[in-house]
Amino acid sequence: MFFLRGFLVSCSMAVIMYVGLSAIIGAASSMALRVAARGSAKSGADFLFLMRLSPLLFAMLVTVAFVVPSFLLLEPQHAIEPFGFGPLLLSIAGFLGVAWGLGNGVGALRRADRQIRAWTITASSFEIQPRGAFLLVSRAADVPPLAAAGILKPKILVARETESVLNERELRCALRHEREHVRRHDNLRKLLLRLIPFPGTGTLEQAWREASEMAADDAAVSNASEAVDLAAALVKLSRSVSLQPPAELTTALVHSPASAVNSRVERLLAWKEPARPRWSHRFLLSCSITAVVLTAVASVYPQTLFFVHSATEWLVR
Amino acid sequence: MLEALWARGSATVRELLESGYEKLAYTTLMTTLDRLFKKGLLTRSEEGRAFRYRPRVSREELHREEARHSFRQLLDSSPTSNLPLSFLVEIVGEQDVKLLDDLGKLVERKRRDLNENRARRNGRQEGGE
Repeated sequence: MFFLRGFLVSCSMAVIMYVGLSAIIGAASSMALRVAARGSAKSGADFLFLMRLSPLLFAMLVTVAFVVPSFLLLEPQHAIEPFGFGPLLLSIAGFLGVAWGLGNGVGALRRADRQIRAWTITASSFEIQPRGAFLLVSRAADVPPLAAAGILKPKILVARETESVLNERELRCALRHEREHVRRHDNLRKLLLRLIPFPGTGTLEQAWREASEMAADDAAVSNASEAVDLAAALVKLSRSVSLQPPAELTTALVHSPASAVNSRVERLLAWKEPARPRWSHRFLLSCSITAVVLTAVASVYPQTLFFVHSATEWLVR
Repeated sequence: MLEALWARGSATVRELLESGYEKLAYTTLMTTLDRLFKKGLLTRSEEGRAFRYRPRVSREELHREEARHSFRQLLDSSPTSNLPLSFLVEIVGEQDVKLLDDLGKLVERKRRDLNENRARRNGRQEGGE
């Protein structure tokens, strides 16, 4: 009974934190978008993704680090206390949320799997040097012009027409773009977002998808000439894309109407040598902040446990 | 008037008159702002004996709302709902083709500029040698 109560209380606290924080993050989307726009596309994409995941990470961290220990250490094992319906209902809501997320994720995985199998049924693989770790390029008849599909071992798929539409330099840049999506595990990230759906976070997710496309554009080019080649590839391939939603858990070089590639093309045409990130400063700053936070948490840990336990007591009654 | 309020953030009738609406009468401006307030496009707060007006929606939100209204009117205008929708897809398609043509021209111009710059640099290097 003691452990069941502890389990229900921990679940309820996690649900409260996750729902509350997700609602706050959803409401503060426009602010997050402004912050993300200040840095590079890569840092913006990482920031937006972290923001979207932060409610789950925070709820899990606080539950494991504070809620569970406070219950185990401070709750008398044999005391018989009244136990309200609140934790039970919250836990049920939490389990339903998890089931919904899992259903969402599994459904998306199945659809993606079916789609990839349909695309690659008549595919033949070929290589373009230099060959990357996952650069298994398949040619299929009706795939998007260029896409990275799959979660754990993504394949880069090139439609037959793409080879004839793009020249060699454009094709290399376009492939580097997709390879960056593979390197950053963007399809896996998309699956993670499918597992934790929450109303009101669509803007943040859409902004992350756009920022990740731009981050892949940035990684694919290293000079103005390559930027023009990639821009040319975007324009040429956009002509062959019909108005249809992108396939499930797939990143494609172009998958949307021309208006959506407009900003990417203009950005590539205005390409400038990116400023070198000052890693040593950033690293030192991150280490210092982490050390300060850990010290602060360690110094007030016992008091925090008492506070958390009082909060759980209130929840139980 | 909304453009002026978006640019300034907020303004009173007097401030708007002083910032480029001198040709309008005070009462005309006040009536227009009052109508915009009643339509829900502005908020206002008392400031002395006057009101300070602020836009309730951003430029993007207003455009989005206008577009939504127009699309709804378009879809409601035909007894068969597919017909206006197919027109819409056609128009968007035409716009896309035009936009892609423009972007294609931009890319080609940029490529030409880069090639010319490269050729000029190479010529200068060969001249130096």
